[in-house]
Amino acid sequence: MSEISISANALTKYFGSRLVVDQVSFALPKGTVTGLIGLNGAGKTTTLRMLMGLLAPTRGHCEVLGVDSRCWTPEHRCRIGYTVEGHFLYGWMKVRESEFFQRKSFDRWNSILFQQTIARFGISPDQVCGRLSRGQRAGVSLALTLCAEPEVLILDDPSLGLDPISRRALNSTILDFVADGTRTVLLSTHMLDDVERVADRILLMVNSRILVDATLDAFCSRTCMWTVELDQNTIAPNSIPGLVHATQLGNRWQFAVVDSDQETESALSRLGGCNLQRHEGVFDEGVIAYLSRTRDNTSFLNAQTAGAR
Amino acid sequence: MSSLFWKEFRETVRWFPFCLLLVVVLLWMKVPGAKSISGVQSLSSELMSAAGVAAFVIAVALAGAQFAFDQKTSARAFLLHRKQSARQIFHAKVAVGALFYMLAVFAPLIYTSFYLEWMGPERLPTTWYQTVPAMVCCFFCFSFYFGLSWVISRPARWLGTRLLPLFAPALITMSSGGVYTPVPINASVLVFGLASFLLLAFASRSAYENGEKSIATQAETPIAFAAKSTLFLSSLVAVWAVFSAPWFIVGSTDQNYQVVKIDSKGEPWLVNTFSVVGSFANQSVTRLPIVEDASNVAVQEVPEDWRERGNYFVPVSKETESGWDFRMLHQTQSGEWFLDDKGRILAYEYQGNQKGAIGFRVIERKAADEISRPSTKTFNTLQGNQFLSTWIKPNLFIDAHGIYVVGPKDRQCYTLLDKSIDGFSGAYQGGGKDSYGLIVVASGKTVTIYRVEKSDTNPAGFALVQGKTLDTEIELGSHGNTFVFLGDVNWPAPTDWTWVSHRSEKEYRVYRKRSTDEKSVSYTFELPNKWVPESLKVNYGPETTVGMSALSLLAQGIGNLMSTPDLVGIEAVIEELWSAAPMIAVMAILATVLAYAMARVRRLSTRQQIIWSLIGFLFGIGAALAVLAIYPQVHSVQCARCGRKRRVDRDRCECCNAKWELPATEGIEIIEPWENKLESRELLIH
Repeated sequence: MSEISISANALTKYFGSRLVVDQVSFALPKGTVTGLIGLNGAGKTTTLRMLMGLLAPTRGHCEVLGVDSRCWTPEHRCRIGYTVEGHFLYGWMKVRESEFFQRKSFDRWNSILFQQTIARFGISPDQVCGRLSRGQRAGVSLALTLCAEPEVLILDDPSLGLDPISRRALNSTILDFVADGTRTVLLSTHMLDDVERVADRILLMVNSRILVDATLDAFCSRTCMWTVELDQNTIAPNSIPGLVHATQLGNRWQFAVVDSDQETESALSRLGGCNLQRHEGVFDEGVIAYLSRTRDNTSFLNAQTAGAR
Repeated sequence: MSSLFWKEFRETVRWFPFCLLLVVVLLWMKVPGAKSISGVQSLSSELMSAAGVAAFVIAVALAGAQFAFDQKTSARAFLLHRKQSARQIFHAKVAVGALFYMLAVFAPLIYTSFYLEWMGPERLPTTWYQTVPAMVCCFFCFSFYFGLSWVISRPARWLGTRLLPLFAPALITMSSGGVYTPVPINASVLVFGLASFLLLAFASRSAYENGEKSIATQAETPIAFAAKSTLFLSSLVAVWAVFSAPWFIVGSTDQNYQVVKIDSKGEPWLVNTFSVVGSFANQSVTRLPIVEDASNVAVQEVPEDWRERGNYFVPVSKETESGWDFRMLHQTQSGEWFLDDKGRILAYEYQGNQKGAIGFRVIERKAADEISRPSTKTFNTLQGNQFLSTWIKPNLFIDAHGIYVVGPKDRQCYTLLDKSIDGFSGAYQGGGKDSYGLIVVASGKTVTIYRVEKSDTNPAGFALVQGKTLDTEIELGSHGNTFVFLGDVNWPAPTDWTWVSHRSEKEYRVYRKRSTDEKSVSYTFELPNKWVPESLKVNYGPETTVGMSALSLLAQGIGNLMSTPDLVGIEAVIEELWSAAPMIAVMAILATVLAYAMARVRRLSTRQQIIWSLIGFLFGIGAALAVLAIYPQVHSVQCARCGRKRRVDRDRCECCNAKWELPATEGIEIIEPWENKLESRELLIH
């Protein structure tokens, strides 16, 4: 039986009067990779900062490796790897000095892994961090996190600035990292294909809430896309049970539906369209349907034109 | 830890040259001033001000460089996520900051000490201990380091109470002026400064450790008490600074000196000079309504409680050589210079200050050849009618034949006024910013007031400009040439001495020994109200009542009563207090209401609301500001059950005890908890 590595219980955060994280609860088992997905401003980074004990929750609590995040000891921190959003590094330090600084700050350190990782990004140890490209900075940042050999890895948008090859390498690294089943990864990212490639579970945050907390398989099996050709320009969403989002492409409508059943199909049929089709197991379309509930996903230019009109 | 020190050292060392340069330049500007005779008088205070300014800038710059950059969200997350605790990181920062601060501030000062000791007192009238006040000031200035680090680390609005912690270091630094006060006072002031310094340091550390977790997470710890106390102190100072300080400045007089002059008949007179800030001096000569209240007072009478009383001069030998006393640091501002019968300049310092002058000691001698005094001028002995003022620049001598000046650079003696003077009242500072001093010369029934001004044509660099002449109704004779300043200067005359006892805010007693009959006599007089400097008065007006508090004003009034020997003038003080009572009461009530309202806004408990209301009543409206600064803003939302406002940071409604309801589901949630999750621990609160 696996243990829980990361958990949150009714985690809530207000910034002033603005609700940023709304009673978020989840539990992530050891040995899994979880993708935390959400729009910008959905509350992902805030949730991670609360998990890391850098921000006090307004209500609720969270634990990593069984210890409340507000009560971590420095020794406990060494068991957790954390990549900060934006890949922070001290600009005045050389890469070699950055490694020295981090090496002295963690109980375990794998220098060989560090050398190999920066070599993969084509970085020399004598380069000054402030003069690295964004991708190289990401490489150094990841190397500094991984070399501490943590039990839990919390990555806040690690693929930001990475080229496709490096992203692929990062994904491989994450899979290698959890291969022995004793380590856990929580990955916050906007790269849906990365999540699909490496994650066992997903947490989908919409409007400060978790709407999806399930395995990837469960998510794909419970969401499906329906397409139908309709003449009418408007529909009544309430008439379709489990409708997540409806998208219109000309006279063709696409409906993302949860737990689609006979009743769903009947409701869609009642719309009077033709060529009703069901598509299953489309991960990214499902995620985008959830995310599109709060933000329009049509072209900015269309919105501008509509506004002008 | 070594890596933290290394990181902080590398990061901070870039700023060190600028810090060092600032101190060196400022000290370099001040120390050469001591090369002129006139520069010696204020060297310690000039060093203190220069080093204080530099130390303030450096403390703030170091704190900014060390904390501001690391306080960005990503930088803080990166730095804090390691095996060293936030406290260790803070300690490393402070250790490195303190190291550079010491190197930049104290190293030049220590060097200056050696330099002054090496130069003086023969080549320069200086001693090493003249840097001690500067060192004390610089020590306390380091509190600005903690103040700014607290400002940076503290979660508060920049346009709200965020900058409030900077008022505490300002108050702490002001306490370094305690070195100029007598021992019982300076010890208590310095202990207060040190205690506040430590409070501030702990509060700053706490803020850094907690970051955006704010004070709430360590609500009742001693450190939280330190943070709250310091914020409370800062609030009081801030309110005082905004409301009261401007009125003190506007209402105060620039100079206000009274000189008691004994005429040929042995009767005392009062000559008053005062000016308000920014205007030329007004002078007046007035006969005192004084009465002789006792005769045959013991010649050497010195009250046992002289330390607690006002201004005294004890006529001991001027040549007394006593060791340096910590209390004497102020000497350079109130010392006097004289010429002795061998043509030497003797620079004296008072053994004490305003609160306890007990004598003189020689701090400097200059050979006659160094001065090159014109041989035609014959100066009398020390006890004669000559006077060298160090209150003005350059150094002026007055004797029966005229007024002379020693050039500040060439040290030549020049005649400013070649005129027979049968009496003089001394020279003292006054007037506007551009004047260098006023000289009051009495001749017959006329008192002439001269103003010394800068001049390019005069070899000495100064010229005497006649100001205005007052026709007096009294005769200021030359008998005994005895005069005393009310305030902080007294005049010793071994054969015919006078000293003044400060009995109350406005009341003085003059003791005088007659040279003729070897008897002494005392006079008591009350200073006219308009001559009492504003800074000595207790202002019960609304402008200070708002800024201060009922408690402090009452304390001042009671303090006045207690400091009045034999309760002289108690009626006036009580009358003043009584007339101010309505205003004090109104302000106390206003402060109470404000503090209560702020406690309500911050949604404190009923008990806390009562306590803060009481604090507001006692300490003024600073308490209301303290409530805003100490307690974070609390947001409320409508309770789904009872419909009233409930705090978002509480698990249950304060009114109906309801828990939070889970957000309404939309039927599209896919929540598939991990199968063992509910078995291993309860995650859902409902």
